[in-house]
Amino acid sequence: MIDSFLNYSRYISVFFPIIPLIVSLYRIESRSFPYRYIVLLLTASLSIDIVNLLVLPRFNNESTILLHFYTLSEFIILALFFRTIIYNDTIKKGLILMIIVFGLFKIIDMVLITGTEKLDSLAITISSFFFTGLALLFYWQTFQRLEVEALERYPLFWINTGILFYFAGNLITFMFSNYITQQGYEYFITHWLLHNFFSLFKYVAFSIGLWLLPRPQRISLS
Amino acid sequence: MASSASATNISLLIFAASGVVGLLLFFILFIVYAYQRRSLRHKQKEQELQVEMKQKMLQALIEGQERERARLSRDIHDSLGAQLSTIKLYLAELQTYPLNSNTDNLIEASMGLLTTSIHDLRAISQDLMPQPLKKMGLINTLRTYCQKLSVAHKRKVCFTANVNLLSISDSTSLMIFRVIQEVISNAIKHGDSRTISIKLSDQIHELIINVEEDGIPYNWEEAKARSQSNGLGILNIETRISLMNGILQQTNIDNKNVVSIKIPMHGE
Repeated sequence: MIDSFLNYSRYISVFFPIIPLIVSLYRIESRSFPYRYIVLLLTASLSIDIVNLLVLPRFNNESTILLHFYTLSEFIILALFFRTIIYNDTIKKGLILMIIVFGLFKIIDMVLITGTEKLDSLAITISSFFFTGLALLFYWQTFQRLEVEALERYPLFWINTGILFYFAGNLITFMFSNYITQQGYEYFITHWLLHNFFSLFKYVAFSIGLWLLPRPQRISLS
Repeated sequence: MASSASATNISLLIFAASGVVGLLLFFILFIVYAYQRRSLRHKQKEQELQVEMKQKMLQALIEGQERERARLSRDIHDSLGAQLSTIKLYLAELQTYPLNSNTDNLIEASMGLLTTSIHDLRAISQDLMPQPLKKMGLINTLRTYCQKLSVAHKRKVCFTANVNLLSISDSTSLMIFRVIQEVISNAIKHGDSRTISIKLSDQIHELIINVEEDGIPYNWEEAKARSQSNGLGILNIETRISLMNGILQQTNIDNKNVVSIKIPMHGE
């Protein structure tokens, strides 16, 4: 019973991004630039998870290669997202450099270090460490600038909070992932459950952030 | 056995997850609270700076006004006053020459007009910049000013002071003098009062000025809104009092207009 609960939870988590995606349909204008990256990330996450967990097993081909590509695309999308919301020019330039460096590292990781058959824990740990720092940096920037009237009504605060907790959680779980997965199947599932829990928090925070965006105004010409 | 271990794992997981949820909520609340506190402190600081800047601007404006008044007073007294006195001397000299009676009368009339002009000019100069303020001090200057007003405007202007003002600076003295001058001027011009009473007293670290007059009852806020020139006078009073961190109150008691001013005197 517990096994089936753990397995079901893996499948349920695939659909977590649907809620913020539905919210984004009601709230996002084509001009809302930083938020478009979030929608892109949600779409990427949903598509890769659907293919990986629901389509590939039907052909007896459950592979981690798609997760490798997801780690890379997540890094690029979020780095570009932070590039639009962080004001410091040096950091903005540094983010472009980091995309190139991480891209090169990921290729090396897939070919030489981890391979495509195993979960890319090292890349996820590095990326988690990087985005935890960026999220904290964004908090610091918001505290310094004091431009927002009420923080709890600020969409970027919620999105950043989601990013911070997801990656801080990932940092801890993936840092010890090799040890945990060696302990057996149940521990492996527990590890994924923890990941799913942080993931759920991220999507809830994203949904709140997107919901707080002003509704696009439709102008009638008739 | 394996099932029991799994159940323990799940319990631990739920327990850990609940702890993490609690921590997350606490973190969000803490961030929002800290941000609000910082934002509030920042706003307060900004407001304080704005008030301070406004005070400095007003101070500079009033100092400039006083400097200009002093220059004008000095010019009137030293230049125009001296020239008129010289003309008066020439006319007096001219009177010693044998002239016909018509010319004599004209010189006499001119001498009279000149005497009045010199007297008025001195009064204007004095009004612009009370010279004896430094020498005589605020109380004696105010007493003399009230006596002159009584004579000039044929009204009863009473002045009483039961206060020690030795410690106040020259600029504060001048500021208080200007405030009282403006209040009395308003009472005479707009209130048409017959009796004006000015009273200076002190409480602990506080100078209290009370001006009572029996003119037409009026309200400063309404007067400010009604008339631009009168509004400027009242604004002038309010500005000077705010620069001294004082409190101003205007009321009507028993058909009398009462202006009450409190000025803190500590640190002077």
